[in-house]
Amino acid sequence: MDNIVFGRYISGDSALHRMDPRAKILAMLFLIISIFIPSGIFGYVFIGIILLDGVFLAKLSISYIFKAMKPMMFMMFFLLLVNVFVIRNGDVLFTVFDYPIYEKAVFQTFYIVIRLLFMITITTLLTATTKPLELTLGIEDLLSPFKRIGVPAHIIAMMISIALRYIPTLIEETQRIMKAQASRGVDLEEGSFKEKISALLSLIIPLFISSFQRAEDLASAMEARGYDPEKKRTRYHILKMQNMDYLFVFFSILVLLLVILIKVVFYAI
Amino acid sequence: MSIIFERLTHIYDASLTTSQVALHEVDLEVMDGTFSAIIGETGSGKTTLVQHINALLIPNEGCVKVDEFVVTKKKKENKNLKMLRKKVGVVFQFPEYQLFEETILKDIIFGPKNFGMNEADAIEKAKEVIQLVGLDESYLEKNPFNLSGGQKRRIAIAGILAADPDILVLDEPTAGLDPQGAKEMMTLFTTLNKDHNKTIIMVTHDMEHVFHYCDHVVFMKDGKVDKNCSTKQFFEDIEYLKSMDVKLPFIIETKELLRKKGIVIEEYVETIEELVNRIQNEVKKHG
Ligand SMILES: Nc1ncnc2c1ncn2[C@@H]1O[C@H](COP(=O)(O)OP(=O)(O)OP(=O)(O)O)[C@@H](O)[C@H]1O
Ligand SMILES: [Mg+2]
Repeated sequence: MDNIVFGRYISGDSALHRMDPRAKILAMLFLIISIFIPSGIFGYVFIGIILLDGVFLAKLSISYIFKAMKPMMFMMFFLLLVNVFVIRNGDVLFTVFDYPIYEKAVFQTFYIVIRLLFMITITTLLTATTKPLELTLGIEDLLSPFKRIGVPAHIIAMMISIALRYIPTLIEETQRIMKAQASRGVDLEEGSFKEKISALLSLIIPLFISSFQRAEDLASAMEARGYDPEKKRTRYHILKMQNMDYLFVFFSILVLLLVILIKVVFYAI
Repeated sequence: MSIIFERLTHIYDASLTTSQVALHEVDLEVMDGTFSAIIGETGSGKTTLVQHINALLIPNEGCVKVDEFVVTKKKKENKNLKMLRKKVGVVFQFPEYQLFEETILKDIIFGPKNFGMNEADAIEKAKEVIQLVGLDESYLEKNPFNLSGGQKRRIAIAGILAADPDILVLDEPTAGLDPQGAKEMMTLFTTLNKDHNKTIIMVTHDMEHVFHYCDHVVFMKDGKVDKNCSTKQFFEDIEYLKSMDVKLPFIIETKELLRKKGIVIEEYVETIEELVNRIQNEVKKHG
């Protein structure tokens, strides 16, 4: 019953913790875009090194990042399997039980897995070093230019922040219910398919019930305090970008440009 | 047969910088057939301690022995966890959140069936335990989600009892119940302990319950067992209780106030009637 760590904020005092949330969100966007540029092995090695530095800057350990990925391992494995067998491009690399495996299939699958790993690393870096409230403020600020064209920046930010705020609660709740049902003999790892379904239901139903309960309570509590999403609000914390923050965003743009350069140099379109 | 903790250490998030030593080299033995209270201020490690008894948590160091079962940090050696969990029933704080079936009957037989009991036996058992927790058989066909909080909790406890555990671990079982409901719960646990021979380990913050229902007290402080003795010994050591900021049960506090006024009652008194009689005697003596 290992702790689920994906999406959790880890209190700390690293360089990344102190950074302006807007700078972090922007940097995250640029890095994610650079992941999706098919820049081949060189590009990915380069991004990998940059991300390692990020993990170091956040004072997290590599094992923590792997822990965050753990819940998604199953999905990744599945994806990998399907991909390897379905893609039929390029040369045949080898055969498994008379089933040909193609070179392209292996490479593409490898890239997909790498991309997923990098995505998780980047989001973990963001959520582990940014308090949910800061994240909301950051998102709201970044969306505010779009207010003019009718984007409800505040409402979107509030929804995102509530969702983020409830990730740890939901995780805690899941662990609690898992323990409670384990005490009643539920075994999520063993048993027949039918037993597994029933085990999963014993987890999901209580989780849904308590989530709805919580959502209702929260809505009532917000209404009782006169919350109105349309009203203009003042802030207690005013975000202010420091030189470091600008530098950080600039640096992430640089990474993106370099990745594009790598692509152009090694894999001319 | 007993529950033995040996140099048990538990660290949460051991791999992180935010790691938390919740238990530090705890040595403790809980004898069979006792009704023990585990008390201590919030965060002292009570929940962490009891969740080791059925291997919901695995020790970082040391071990827990329950009869022939031994749980250590070596995952591979911890076999038969399911049988251990059948033997040790754990009732969580707010257990009503674990209900999920559409009828109470189905929810109660869920545990026993997981532990390998056949359906017919499980249904028989359900009929037995629903009465044990103070509800009647007509409830079995009802939907658990339409009940009151207190009733839901009874159903949840019935679901644990249905697997017929030898050891019952209760984590703050009366939290959030009205005084009458809490009293009925405590009476139920006493019955289970005295008439059904179940070893009971109860985490609680209610000193009245400890005083009136438990025979042993384990006092936790900062992840260690600070005191482990009989209830009588525990509540006789007024100096210790005061130094630890333990809220005195009504009878002990009354005795203490009387002592300050010069009326000294030496005997350990357990009921209000007895206390009143003693006071009467003292008053008569002094005329
Ligand atoms: N899931 C967890 N992750 C990290 N730390 C935890 C976790 N659960 C408990 N702790 C920490 O372990 C310590 C002991 O917690 P525990 O829940 O055992 O206390 P408790 O005595 O049961 O308290 P309470 O009376 O409030 O229920 C606390 O310092 C707590 O912060
Ligand atoms: Mg607790």
